[in-house]
Amino acid sequence: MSVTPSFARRLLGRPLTLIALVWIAFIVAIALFPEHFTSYDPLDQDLLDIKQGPSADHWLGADALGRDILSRIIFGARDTILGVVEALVVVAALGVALGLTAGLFGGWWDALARQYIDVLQSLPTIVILLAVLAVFGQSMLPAMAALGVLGSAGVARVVRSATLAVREELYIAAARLSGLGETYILVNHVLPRVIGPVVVQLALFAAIAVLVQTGVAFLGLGVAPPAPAWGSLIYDAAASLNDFPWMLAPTGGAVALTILAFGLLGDGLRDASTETWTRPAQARRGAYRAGPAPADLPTGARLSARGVTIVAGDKTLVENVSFDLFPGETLGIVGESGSGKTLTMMALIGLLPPGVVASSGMVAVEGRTIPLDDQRALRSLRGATIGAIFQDPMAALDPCFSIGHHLEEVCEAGLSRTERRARVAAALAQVHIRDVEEVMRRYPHQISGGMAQRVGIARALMKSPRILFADEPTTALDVTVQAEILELLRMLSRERAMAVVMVTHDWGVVADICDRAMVMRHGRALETADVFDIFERPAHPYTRALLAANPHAAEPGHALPTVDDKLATMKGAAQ
Amino acid sequence: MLSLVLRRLALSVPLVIVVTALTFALESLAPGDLARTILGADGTEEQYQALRRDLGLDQPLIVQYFEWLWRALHGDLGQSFFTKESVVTLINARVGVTVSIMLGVLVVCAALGIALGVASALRGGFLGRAIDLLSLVGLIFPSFWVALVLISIFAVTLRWFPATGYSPMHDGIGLWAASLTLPIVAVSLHSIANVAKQARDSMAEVLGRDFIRALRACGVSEASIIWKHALRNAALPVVTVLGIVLVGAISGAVFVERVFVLPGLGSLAVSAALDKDIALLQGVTLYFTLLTVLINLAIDTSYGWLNPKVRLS
Amino acid sequence: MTGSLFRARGLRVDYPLRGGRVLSALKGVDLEIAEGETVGLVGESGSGKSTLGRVILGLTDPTAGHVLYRGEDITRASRARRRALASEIQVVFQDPFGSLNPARTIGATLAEPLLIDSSLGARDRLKRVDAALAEVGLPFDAARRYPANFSGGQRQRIAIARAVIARPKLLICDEPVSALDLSVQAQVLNLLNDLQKRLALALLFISHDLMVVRHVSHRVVVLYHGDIVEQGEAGELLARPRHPYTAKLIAAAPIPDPRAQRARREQMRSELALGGNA
Repeated sequence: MSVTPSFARRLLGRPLTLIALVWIAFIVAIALFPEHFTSYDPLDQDLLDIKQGPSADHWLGADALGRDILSRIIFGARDTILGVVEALVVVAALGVALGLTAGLFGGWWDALARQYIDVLQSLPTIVILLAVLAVFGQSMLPAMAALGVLGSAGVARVVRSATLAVREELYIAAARLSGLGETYILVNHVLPRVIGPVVVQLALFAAIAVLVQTGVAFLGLGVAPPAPAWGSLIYDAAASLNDFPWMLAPTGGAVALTILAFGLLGDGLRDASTETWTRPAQARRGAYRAGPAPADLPTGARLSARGVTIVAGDKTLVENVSFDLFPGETLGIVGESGSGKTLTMMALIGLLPPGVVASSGMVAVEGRTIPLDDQRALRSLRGATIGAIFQDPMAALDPCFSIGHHLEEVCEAGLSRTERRARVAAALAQVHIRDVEEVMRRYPHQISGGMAQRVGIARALMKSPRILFADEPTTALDVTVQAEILELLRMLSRERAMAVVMVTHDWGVVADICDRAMVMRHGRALETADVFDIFERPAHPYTRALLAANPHAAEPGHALPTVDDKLATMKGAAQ
Repeated sequence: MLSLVLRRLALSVPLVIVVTALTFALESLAPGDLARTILGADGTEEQYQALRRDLGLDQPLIVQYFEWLWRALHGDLGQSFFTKESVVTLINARVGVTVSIMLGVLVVCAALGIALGVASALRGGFLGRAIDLLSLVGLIFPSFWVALVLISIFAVTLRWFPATGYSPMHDGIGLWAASLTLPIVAVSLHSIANVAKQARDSMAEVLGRDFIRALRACGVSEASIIWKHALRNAALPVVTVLGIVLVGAISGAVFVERVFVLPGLGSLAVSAALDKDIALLQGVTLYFTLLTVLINLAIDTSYGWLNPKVRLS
Repeated sequence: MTGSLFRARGLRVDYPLRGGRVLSALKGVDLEIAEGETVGLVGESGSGKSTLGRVILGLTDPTAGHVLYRGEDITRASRARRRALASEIQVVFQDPFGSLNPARTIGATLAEPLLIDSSLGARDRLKRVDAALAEVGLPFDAARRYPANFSGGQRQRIAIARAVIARPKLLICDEPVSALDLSVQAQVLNLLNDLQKRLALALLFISHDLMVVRHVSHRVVVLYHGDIVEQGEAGELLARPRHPYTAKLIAAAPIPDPRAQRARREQMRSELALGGNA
């Protein structure tokens, strides 16, 4: 976050933040000039008017000694604000300096800072404050300063993380490599990003400071009676609790509103500092249109998708996509990022991300026709009818459970422990994992990406589905591992007579493993054809352009033909 | 796992030393002389010197500190300046009350907080906003003020609970629980919503992760996904917050014991501070620090239990 | 006359692990780049190719070995010397989203490499920025906008503009197109080729993708577990690989031609080790 005019606008544009700022300004005003806001002297007793509720004379009532409550609150504001300022100064100076230097310089200083932060953050605040107050009980300053020291740990921690995060950004390395000096980088690149979290922390800390200052005064420490500190006022209210509970309200209210104001300010600062503040797309339920029952379903197809349309908010991501999947074949869905290929496949098993819904379409499989908004029916397809493997094999595993557990839990019910383990071992052996016993004991972070994908395949096939959905299963893997995984998939699909849908952006994968391919772009299916036809006789100009732009098919020495977005034509080398 | 525990214990030593040395050092900064303060204006010079020797004040600070540390390691924390009772005896009599409050707060915050948070993550909408509102309310009203309001409503007006005073366990579990209910509620209110918020945010984040989608794709039941997989992964940040809540409960106990007049460590600490009874305060500080160490240890071991990466590396 | 612009001799990078063991990211690597030459560095994960790039840029210190630029040993060059070298050795990173500061305008970012030249005034810098944007095919009102307004491919082109604006002699490209869509890759690769010819740049093109590397390189170097297993002229190496790992790499990358790929698969089937614990 940098302090730009747009930041100020975003900050002040939120009504709650604005109100918070106004309230804080108001409290500061009455702290500085209490006499201007009330005509009563806070120490003035009027023994005829004790324990009175709100009235024309005393807007917030009078306490047990007839003193005007409102005036006492007004005069008490000074102690509160003073305490906050004292604590803030210490926490800001100490916390920011420590955090910045630790994050920037690293090494032993950082190690020392981390120890300091750890120790300080483990201390129970009030206990340390009591120790300080035992020695310096008359004045609030040492206690607030001590609070500042204690709080500096939290601020230092946040500043340190922010500094470290920025330091690790690639553009910092790039700036250094551009020949810029450390000071320039610090001032122009690091500080602007760190100021944001710092200011947020300080606002939130101010809220805590008010709370603590009030508490200390409540205990009878740090202030000399009959000074009207807010905490002392609450204590007075406690003393009259039995017959005058009203006093609790204004005294607590003043404290609460001030704490709230600082808290809201902190929240407002935090929200205003996010650069791209976009609301997540709201899913519109009930926008599903069934569409006419499709009459053209080929009888031999194992799975048919018709009219798949997917939207997020009012953006259409996939429009009217249809395809068939025949037994024993591998169908590739090819496209670039944003083409909607993954969403199309996921919609058929009801696994669209939040905010994204299928607004039309149906899937026909095993004699059933399921509209894409029937979550329950789609759910019943998963695992037993349609298995799935995903792009990031490590992320697809639960880090808290062992590999063996992952597979055992997908086994059918009603098996004994030994039977289950035997099934799991067999499944792992089928995907060519050696040392099966050892791997079953391991956790996801202890295996490689290639092995994780094999585990993923084993798990997807545990219930022997006849259809496999594969979402770019080799993109995240090394090319040599990719070759092995593709070969494994080919072999398994043949042995089990499975039909496979393979989403990919890699033409090499299409050429290697697919029998047919459907090309998608911007949510639309452009052409579907036999794999040989797609490569040798592409019908759609976009397919032709995409094939030609593939660096893997390039002629070395010649410029690569590129795809021009606007015209979807080819530039450069000949067809 | 053992190495985890040992590591935390090793790290705790500097903590304890820092805290106890700090309180010791603070005393030396006190304006005015402790012996003079105790004696008052009309002590004779002889009495003054005798008291100084008595309190060990005639020796250099470092020596005083190590002597104190040595005695502490043998279970002797000295005597209260004012009542002359053994500090250890005074404290041990009151530890139970404070620990009861802290454990009560933990149970309430954990149970209610997690339940609300998970429910909100799953249902969303109204419950989520309610939690946000509640967290705000809990945050802005000081626990001692909340305690007073609770007394006003439930003790003074409705007479369901005692306003002040502690009923020890051997006088009857019911009375004991009643005397601790309002104090525990007062401290918990501050934190329940924080726990709920963290639980909700954690759950929501975990439910969006890839492995949840993969589990769904394998046909694993939704109940298993939520209660076995998501909860386990979401637990770590929640445990962290619960640790913070527990440490915060120490501060909360201090105030609440004053308001409800409970004979716990907190009220003892405040009296010691008001009376400037340094020896007693040092003893109480040590106990509180040890409590904090225990809490951190519990958190660390929970991490290890929940997260295989921590356990196995 | 093209002389050796850059040489790496016996570069070794070891990372200490817990328990006294050591992870050798680079095990004694020799590399040479001539002026105006593109050398492609190919390796899979764990090969050490990124480490090599970082050592050359001074972002990582080698455990042993030397890095020579124009005959000068810059292995442990001082910070001041590194800053001066910034006008000679530049970099394009893989991540088009992380390498540009999102809070600064494109113009400000592009002007940064020029700040070290005190002879350039603000107006000169502006002109150079506009020229650089034109060179990479971006409209010159881009200078006023922020990175968030541009696509991945465009941001990568901005990164390239920043890299060449000070007219360096050696450009290190660390997987510059790996994070981009195929169709966009073509644009960026063409741009790099183009700039290399026009500015007589020497390029070190690091990638995991052998086919992409072949397209832009004169020479190819194959890295495997921190060692160079083979190097040679690009076409020759791909047509007649001598080391089994190179052959494996070539075989593993599927040919985007179904007939050819199926034929090769038949041929390679027996040779493809279906390693169980990969």
